[in-house]
Amino acid sequence: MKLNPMNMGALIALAAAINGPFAEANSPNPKPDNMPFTIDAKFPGGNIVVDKVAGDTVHLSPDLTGTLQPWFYWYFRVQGAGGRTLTFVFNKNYVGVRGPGVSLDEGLSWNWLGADAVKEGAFSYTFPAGTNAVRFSVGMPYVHANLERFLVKHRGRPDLHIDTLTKTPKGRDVMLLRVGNMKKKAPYAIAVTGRHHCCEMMASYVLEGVLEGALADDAAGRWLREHADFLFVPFMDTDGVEDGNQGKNRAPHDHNRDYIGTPIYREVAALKERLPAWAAGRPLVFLDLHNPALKTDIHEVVHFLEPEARDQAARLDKFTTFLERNQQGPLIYSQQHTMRIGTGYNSPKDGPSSRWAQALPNTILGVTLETPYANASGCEVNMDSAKEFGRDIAVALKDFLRDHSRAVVEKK
Amino acid sequence: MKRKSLFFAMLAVAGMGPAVRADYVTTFSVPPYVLDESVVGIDGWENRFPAKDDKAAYAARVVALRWNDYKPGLMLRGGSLKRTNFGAKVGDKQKVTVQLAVNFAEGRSGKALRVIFWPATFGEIFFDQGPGGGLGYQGDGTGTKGQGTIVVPKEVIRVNSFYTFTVLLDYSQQTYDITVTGVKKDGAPFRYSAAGVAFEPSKSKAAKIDSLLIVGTGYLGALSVESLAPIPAKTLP
Repeated sequence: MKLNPMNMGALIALAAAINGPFAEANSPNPKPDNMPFTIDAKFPGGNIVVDKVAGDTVHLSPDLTGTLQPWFYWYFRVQGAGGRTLTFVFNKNYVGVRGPGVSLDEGLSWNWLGADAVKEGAFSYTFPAGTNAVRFSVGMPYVHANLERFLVKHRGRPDLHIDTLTKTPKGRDVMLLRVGNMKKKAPYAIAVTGRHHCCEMMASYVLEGVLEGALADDAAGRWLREHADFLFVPFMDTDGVEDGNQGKNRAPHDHNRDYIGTPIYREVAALKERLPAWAAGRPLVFLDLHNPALKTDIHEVVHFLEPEARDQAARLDKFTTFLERNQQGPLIYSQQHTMRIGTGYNSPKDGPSSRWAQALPNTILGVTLETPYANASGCEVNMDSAKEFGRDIAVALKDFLRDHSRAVVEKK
Repeated sequence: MKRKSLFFAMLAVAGMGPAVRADYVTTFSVPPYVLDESVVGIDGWENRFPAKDDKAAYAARVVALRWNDYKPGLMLRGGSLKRTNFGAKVGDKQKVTVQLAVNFAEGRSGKALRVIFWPATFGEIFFDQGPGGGLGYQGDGTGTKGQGTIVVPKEVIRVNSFYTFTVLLDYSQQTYDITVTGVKKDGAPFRYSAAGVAFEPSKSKAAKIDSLLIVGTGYLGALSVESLAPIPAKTLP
């Protein structure tokens, strides 16, 4: 039996029908292990299908609405289970290598439950006594509210302009951020996009790190704001992020396969119009941030996808040399992990945003970055380490552009 | 630790105080260290092996550490450094302080960082990325080539956070006391100490530190070698 996760009233009724918890809760001395609990996804980014509740064991799966093939994004909340131990059972392919993300503060902060807690896609969790709500997810969800919390610290700054790219089909604003000196054009343009695949939330922490680096009051931040204008579109599929969609392989094609012909998504159409106009012929670096698949092999390694154009491929090597040399965060980029064109899944096909950007006449580097969900070559990917990696990317952008500008001067 | 307290008590009775003399101290923060420049060729630091490729140029550089409030540190990227001449030791006791931080370097499965004082009186301080590894020290007085003593297991280590190793060497006793402090992954304070550990056996009794080797990937925030000498109280300022 599957339930539409958007209809959680029915879900609660189901839990009650199977467990009989409400009746138990109304008895004079309800036992903690018989107290009612509810599971829902009625919050930004929420996604779950409850297949079955049997005693303290809950069988779950991701809601794949609108998706062409199975994917693994899920995010749900359990309430009223304080003091109780419940077991959650997923298909083993839908739980990552460090277990589920767990939040005790309504999604403000997250920790991995740990690999040891998971067996064949099932994990048990003992809810702390007195805890009202605990959230679980395949990752560490990042929605619009997360970015708002970050921006609160920077609102009012003259070098940060908050704008709108367009409206979504559901009427939401697609946020566009610009960082730099608003009174004059800097010699370089840097565009950073995220969540073309709305489920890929860990990439948002990387984006926030790049944004933080661009705004930082340190040598790299000051240099960047003097020499480059930034354009960020943190949520290309804003509706998908807020509604908790998979987004990856969205029917008939997803947002990151929409950069061919006439776009079917208004966000993509808007970016294709806005970005070249904003860059205005200046040397452009375009960075599109993603997460790969959930686990195994290259999906547990940070990797850039090498552009097809040889000049841009060489510049990517230059960029990653600086990144490898100067990175200070816990996540380590190794140039040997750059996925060369024609290898792995990096095929020269049109459709992705970075392919489109690479073809713009002023682009010096257009590239996709894949940051794993939970494990990057043995390092834990989490809210902090992913953000720190973003900071490292910002510093590497400074080094790369400084080197590029010197080379241009020498050439002249 | 009792032995040390007794030592200081005896000094007090004798009208003498323990004096600290810096044989070598650095936080990599003042000249001749230069931000974003290699340490090789300055302040006695040398490449242990001839540079093989362009990576050697940035393998050991002073950087402002973002995660340490932009304080300078020596960032190692697979470097292999050597430093000799730690000054003339005074007295029979020395204190060595090393502040180091690690992350989990790509492709490493064994000792990813080693700080080796020579002759190997107390072995070395290391970060072992292998199974069952962590931050630890080597010398246990037996001379056996084991895995050393793991002080902070890998799963407890907070990456990019300094752990301070303090080693009090007693050359007359041929023993050392070691203390390790820092913060665990979960933010809780960490402290480890062991006292009266025997030097590694050697043909000649170790009497001073001659050289230091640093190999691997990680960060050094501070490094010092200090003589702890009993000096008559009247000579103290």
